[in-house]
Amino acid sequence: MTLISLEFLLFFLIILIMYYNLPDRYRKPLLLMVNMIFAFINGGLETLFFLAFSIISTWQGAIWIEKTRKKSVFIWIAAVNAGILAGMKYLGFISVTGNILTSIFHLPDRIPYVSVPAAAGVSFYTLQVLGYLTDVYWNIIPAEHDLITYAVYGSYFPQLMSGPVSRWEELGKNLNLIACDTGRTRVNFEYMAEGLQRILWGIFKKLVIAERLAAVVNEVYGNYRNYSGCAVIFAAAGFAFQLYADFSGYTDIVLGMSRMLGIGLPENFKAPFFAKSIGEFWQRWHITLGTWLRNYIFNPVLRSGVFERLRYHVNRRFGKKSANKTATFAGLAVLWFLAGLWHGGAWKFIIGSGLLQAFYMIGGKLLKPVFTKLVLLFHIHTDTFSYGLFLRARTFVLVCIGFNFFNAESAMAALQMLKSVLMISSYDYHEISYLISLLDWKNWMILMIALAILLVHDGMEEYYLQKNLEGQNVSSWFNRQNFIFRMLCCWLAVGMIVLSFNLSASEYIYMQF
Amino acid sequence: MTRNEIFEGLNEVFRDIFDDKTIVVTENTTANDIEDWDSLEHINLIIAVEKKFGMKFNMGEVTKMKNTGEMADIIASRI
Repeated sequence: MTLISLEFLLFFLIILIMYYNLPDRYRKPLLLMVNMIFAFINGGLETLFFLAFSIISTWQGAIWIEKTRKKSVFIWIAAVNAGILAGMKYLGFISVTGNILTSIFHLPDRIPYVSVPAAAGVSFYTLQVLGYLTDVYWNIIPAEHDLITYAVYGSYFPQLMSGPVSRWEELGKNLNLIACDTGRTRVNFEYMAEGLQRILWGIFKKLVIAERLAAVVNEVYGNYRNYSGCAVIFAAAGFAFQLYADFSGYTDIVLGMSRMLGIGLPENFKAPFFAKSIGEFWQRWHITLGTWLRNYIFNPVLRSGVFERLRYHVNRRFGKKSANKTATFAGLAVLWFLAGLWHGGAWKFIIGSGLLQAFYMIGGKLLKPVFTKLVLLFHIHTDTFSYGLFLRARTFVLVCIGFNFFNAESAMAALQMLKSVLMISSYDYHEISYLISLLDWKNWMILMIALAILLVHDGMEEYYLQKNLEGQNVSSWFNRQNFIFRMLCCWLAVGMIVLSFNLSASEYIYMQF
Repeated sequence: MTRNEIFEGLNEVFRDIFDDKTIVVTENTTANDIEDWDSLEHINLIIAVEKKFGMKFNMGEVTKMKNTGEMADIIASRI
């Protein structure tokens, strides 16, 4: 059941009516019931079973950890939950990779192919419950003793399938605010209006932008052998915007729905294409996953005994600066390998969404003195619009190379597409005309207007980010405008969405994880 | 150890880690005030501070610390 299907919107409307008509104390049980129904519809009984196991094991485990402070309890419960995630997602990948290695080294035995069907949303809810368990173990938060509250947190239906990955302090605490023992909370019309606007914006991005771009992007990625480099560049840039509109649109709908229920969730995107470096890009794209990996993988790994020994040995030979750099670079490699692996057991993810990003970031750190010298040598003014544009364009190109791996059918296909981009003499510009003809002029016009709106929106978000004004963002700016203007904008969005109904709404790209 | 001595020690560590002899940290210094203080360098900084003062931050403190004033508070409570 996708978030923009009619049946889901009806499902949500019924939940909303029940939610605001029941006494407050029944809200959490209602949400838990809805979460379970949603998990069952999307993943069947096995999803329900594994979800319940993860929730109960980490809930009980956190209580034990709080009482005993035993490291072994933490390690066992974390390992079992991470093991289930790994078993569901990577057994097939390990078998395939193992067989490639046995054939390379001419070993006689073949590894039997083993694959376990993955529970729906397992990549997201496992990170969420493991984050909670670790926070209790690190004594950042107390264990939650109420199983219903914790189960709502672990299985919260809007974010179950594709995030955002919320920390207990971001979601769990909000859940405790929605249920008092007495009375019934009135509908908050401010939350309702903000939530509806956010949902509309999410549907707009998905249907008006992502679905139109998909027509062109899928044609090239599905038949990449037939296209030259110029078509690949066209499709790769299109895919970057398609993925952004798709995934951030999904997140907008999730945050909007949650807002309507009066439950705040963390933001997952902050104008990512305005980032001036790869490091900055990953602080603006899929923010909650990046934060999770930094808090629970990168930081502990860099403070681990293994890394302490690494620092010690490098320090003895090459000095303190090199020791710090080596540890940071090795930590980045671990972090990005796991980030790639999280996306799926395939080399295209491990390279494109993983190691390539580590390579960019390490390269950026190593080359920083060279760039600084070049800037001085050519008397480049770094505080100008043109220099900012150059940095953003450079980041966008690097990001597109990574996304090319993400969307290609395999790592080899992605490499072949990159090779065709380098063969400039073979470019066939008629292909661009053909790709443009895949949509009629009305659809192109709607797409261009929608992309312009998206860029203006993100440009304004960037302005507020740079100004660093407390509580000021595009949403607060929009809500300060006159009623007529806001209505006009909403009806424009509705109109463009209606004009997109003839496009078949495909599954969200991040649902596969 | 007085608070001034803690800040003198912190200045030494910050100057060394960020390779900038002009850095002077105060109670309200944050990552926004020092160009190279990003999430990657943060952990190197924490490890260097731990070595300098012979104490350990817990992981919660590592992620939640807002400014050098808070860092100095934790150091003062551990030594």
